Amino acid sequence: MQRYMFMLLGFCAMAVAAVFYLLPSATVRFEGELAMMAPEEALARLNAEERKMVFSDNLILTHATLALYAGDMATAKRALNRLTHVKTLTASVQEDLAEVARIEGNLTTAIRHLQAAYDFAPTPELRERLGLWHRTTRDRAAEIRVLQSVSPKRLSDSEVERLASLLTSTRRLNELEALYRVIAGGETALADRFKERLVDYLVETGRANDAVTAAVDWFEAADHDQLPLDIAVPVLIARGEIGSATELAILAVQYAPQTSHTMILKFARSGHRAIALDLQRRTLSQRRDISVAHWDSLVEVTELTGDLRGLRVAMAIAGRQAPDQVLIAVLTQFLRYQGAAALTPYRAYLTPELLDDAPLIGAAWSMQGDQAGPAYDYLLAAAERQMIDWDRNIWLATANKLRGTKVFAALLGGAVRDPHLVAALRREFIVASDPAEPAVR
Amino acid sequence: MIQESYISFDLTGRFSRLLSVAQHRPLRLRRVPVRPVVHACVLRFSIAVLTFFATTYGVVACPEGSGFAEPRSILALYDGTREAAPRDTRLHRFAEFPLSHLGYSLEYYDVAASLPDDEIDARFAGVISWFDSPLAEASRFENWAAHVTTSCGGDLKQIVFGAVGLDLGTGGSADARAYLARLGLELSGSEEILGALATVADAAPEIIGYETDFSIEPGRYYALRATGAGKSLLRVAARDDQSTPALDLAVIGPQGAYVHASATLSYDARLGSGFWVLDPFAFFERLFSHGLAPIPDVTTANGRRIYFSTVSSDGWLALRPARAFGEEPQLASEILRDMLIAPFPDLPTTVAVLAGDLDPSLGGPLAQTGENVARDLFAMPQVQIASTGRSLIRNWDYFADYDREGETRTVSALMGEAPATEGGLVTAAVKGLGGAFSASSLSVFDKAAAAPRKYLRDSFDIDSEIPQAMTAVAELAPEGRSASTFLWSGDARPFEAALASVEAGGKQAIGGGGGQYNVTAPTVSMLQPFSAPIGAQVQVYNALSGDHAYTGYWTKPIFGFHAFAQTLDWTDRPRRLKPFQLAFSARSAIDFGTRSAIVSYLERARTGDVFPTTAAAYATMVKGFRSMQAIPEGPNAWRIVKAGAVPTVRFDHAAGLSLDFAASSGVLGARRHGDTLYVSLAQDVAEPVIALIDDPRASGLVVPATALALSESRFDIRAVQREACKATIAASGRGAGTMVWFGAPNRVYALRSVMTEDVATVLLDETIAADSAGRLEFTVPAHPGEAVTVTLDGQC
Repeated sequence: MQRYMFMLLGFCAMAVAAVFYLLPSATVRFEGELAMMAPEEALARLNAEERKMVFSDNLILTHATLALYAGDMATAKRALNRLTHVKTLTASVQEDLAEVARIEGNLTTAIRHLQAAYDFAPTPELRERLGLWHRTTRDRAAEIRVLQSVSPKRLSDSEVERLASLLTSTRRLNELEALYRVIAGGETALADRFKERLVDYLVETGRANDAVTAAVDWFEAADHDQLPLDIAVPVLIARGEIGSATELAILAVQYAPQTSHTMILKFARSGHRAIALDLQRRTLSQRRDISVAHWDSLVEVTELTGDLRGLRVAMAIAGRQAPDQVLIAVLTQFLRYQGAAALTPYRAYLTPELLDDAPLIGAAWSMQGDQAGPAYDYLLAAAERQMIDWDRNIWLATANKLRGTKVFAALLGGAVRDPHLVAALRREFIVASDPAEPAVR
Repeated sequence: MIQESYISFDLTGRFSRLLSVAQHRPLRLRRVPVRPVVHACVLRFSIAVLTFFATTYGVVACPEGSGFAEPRSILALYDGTREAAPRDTRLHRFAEFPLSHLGYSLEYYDVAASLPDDEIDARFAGVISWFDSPLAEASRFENWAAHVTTSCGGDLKQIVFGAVGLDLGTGGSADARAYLARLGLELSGSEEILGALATVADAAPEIIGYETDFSIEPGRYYALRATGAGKSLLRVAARDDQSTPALDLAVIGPQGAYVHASATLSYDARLGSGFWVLDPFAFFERLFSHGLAPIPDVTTANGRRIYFSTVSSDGWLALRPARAFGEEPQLASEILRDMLIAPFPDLPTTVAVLAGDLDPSLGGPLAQTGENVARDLFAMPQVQIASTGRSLIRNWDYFADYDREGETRTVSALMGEAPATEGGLVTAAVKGLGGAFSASSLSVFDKAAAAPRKYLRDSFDIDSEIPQAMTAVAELAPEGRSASTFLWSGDARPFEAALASVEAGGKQAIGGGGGQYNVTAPTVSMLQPFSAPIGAQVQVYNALSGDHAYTGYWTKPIFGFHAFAQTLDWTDRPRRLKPFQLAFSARSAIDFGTRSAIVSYLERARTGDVFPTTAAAYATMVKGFRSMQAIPEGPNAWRIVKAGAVPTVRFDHAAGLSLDFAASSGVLGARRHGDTLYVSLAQDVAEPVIALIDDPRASGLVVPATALALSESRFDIRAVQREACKATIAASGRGAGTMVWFGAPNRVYALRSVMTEDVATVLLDETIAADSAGRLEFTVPAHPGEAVTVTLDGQC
């Protein structure tokens, strides 16, 4: 019995000890009370108790947060500064201190705290904010430092752009080149733009050979996809490095024959016609078929150079496979540069269907055969189509050949509605025939 | 015989204006011959038309004639294939605000649709564009741009930001060169490349480097150089060794100016906006040779910064969780009423509710409590009644061309449900949305946060959404009070019919726009213009952004709204750019961080140097901004016409000038703010005349000994009846009304203030002595009503 009594007493003692042990401390009790108060009241209590009791870290944090929310920045700052020693809170405390300073309008102090937060926990969000704040204070060196705190591959595209701009304006060109190389070799949306910039920079600094090497490296890394060369060649041309550009273009002709016709255009458009024609010759010498895009290039090169040789070779290689719209574009070039007689080798292609689709060719070809009636019909049809000045001249020249026929009078009599042609007809044929004007033969 | 008449009327012009308002086609005035045979009729008709014109568009004579208004409109050209509508343009987003601060009003024109006439109206001071690429019809445009002039042949400035709109790769046509010459530019060569070694050869420090340093963007540039008549503001060269000729990226020419895109704004994705490279204020002032001229001002009234407050319905029914067991949770709107509105009876506040929230069949069981709160609030005299509609539109564009079934499909898709296709699409879909409805309301935002509106039980209907919603909320108010204002919800991009619906009801609407300006948003580019043209309507924007912009829509930092104080400071000095608008949502009442910030701003408004007014009154002021004209009436004197509700005209750089009160009429007085002189207009005078005099005195007022002129007043001054040394002032306001007047130095005045509706209630009866400068300051005590009559009698 006595033993049971001792056991009971023992249990009671343990229970009492447990109760005492589990009793919340004064600060914990205080925290519980605060949780049930309105925040305004809780803050007032904290302000009142601040000097009377020792606050736990948790209470200090509550005090800081409430003061921050209340806009009492002095109290918030004081409380937060008491927490800077707590390692687990360092980043958030420094961030809050930065916010306090920001709201007070002290960006320099805000930056200092945000930098501390970033040093402790470098997140992209903090980096962006810190970089922007440095920009606001126009501290370019500090902004560069932040942007260089991680690999360029981890920066956002806009950060990369900003870093490049900063390195350029501060003349830190070695770092700029390194940045260009990293991004140009990557796969972000900026890669192509930075390829272009790197090529330009290398040429600008007298290293065209390095530019070619870089372009060839990208070309090979891309399994002979022509895109890197398409980026590099125009830059080289624009910078006057024609030899280097040609070198790359020949590479394209050699390894990317399906797409290399675009290279020809780059030279033709920039006025390097001889190189363009040479590249065209090289390209066609390897072709057994010609894509529509390639035909379009050939037509444009002809238009820019007036040289019909490429088209002749192409017609010989693949004229029979060319769709009608391509043939019309090709034959129009022959008509424009050498007149209807130049169509003779291609008369097999001049089917009624094709001529209906290309009435200007139809008119010229009909007159070539002295067929005034069909020529008249084609001329009327051509007048309903969109024409450039060049075509209008061909139209007028063909119409001129109808002089003396019955249909010529009909043309002058108003059968044509196109205002440009009406004006031209009047100018060329009617006004010229006015006896008050000098005779025109 | 044909007489040439140069009367500036044109029925055709007027008619075309009416027809083509949606295309923002500018009015053109032509010279019209009048035949004597019909001249009697025509003349009579033309006088009628002229009168109509003069009242509609202001006086339209030319500078050499009398009655010529200072041109203050700018034709804003945009490419509709690149920027969908005026409010989406760079011009609106970035250039309009600084231009409107300087008094200019933009009229937008889509050059992709057509070109303006070669001769545009004389009210245009300039033409501005901000293209980003050559125009499709570049050849027609260059011809127009090379020849455009005003109907008076006046000094028309052409301003080009960004691309010139032409492809100059081939050297440019004669028209293109003539156009460039107007801008002070010539094209030498086609293109030049600027790379990493390019350098700034010269920059005007007073214009370039305003908010950020200029950086050269690597790339190809047209070889544009300043002509002899052009003044370069920014010159760059491919190398710093002078081996290459320089290019000019910012030039002010004889008839305009050019600024390359890289010298306008430097966009920063981290900011979500751009930093101004050039100082837009200084640039436009220099370009327009901005001399002394009255500027309509909607930031200031009665010499004080305008204050108004708007509360949106967001979170009206949101519950604040109980802090202790047994405590009743409170609605955000209840806290709003008890802590943010009721304790501030002296501050007018426009409170908007959502009709759908208060309908128990939509808002759920909390709707009744929400309605009770609305009734309490609308019974408070300081509260103006407003609505945010019925179903809470989040995406207004979506409803411009409404399709009920499309909406149902959209919401179903957002909720991840297959769209119903049979058995009544709408019914099936609404049934299908059952899972989205919270236990307490039919809000679809709980399950489809990106839904175009909150309550979609009923089909969208503009009448139900706007006029009926306003009527419904007004029914909660005591008899005799009506809803005055509509607050645009969601993206605040109302379509034209929505704006017209508000206008048709004779109400005002406000929303969208705003902006912030502080240490972390340190650019004027983040301040929006005062309004936007939407077809024939005008959308009045918020003056400043509210709580949501500072708290990331109540996410982080929740205490961020405390930074609004900086925006208030930065938009007041050195230039007063915006009025003080306190905009917040009902749900901000729940969060201690936002609530305490709001309380601090209410206290600031209560004690600050502000003129409290209502959102509706502010909206009418903004509309007046567009129509106001100033007609010179001699050196440093102007007649102000069509000012509408514009309360103030402003003179910048006027430290050495004061208002000549004796030579002016229809003005209340004036006050300085920095080197700016604010002249308060009398509300009851249609065409006030303002005369300034060389006098740098601190008050900015030169007042005859027998007159009394206003410097500042917290109360609204509705009318002033003047006799020798005496003024009887009809005023209204809430709380204590501080006023400062200027009269004869050291004269003693009898001061008496009574309630206008009850003259037996004397608020103030004392004598007051003017100081040695003639300054009289007094405060009308707080009173229960609005209107008071104040008499100042110097007995001379």
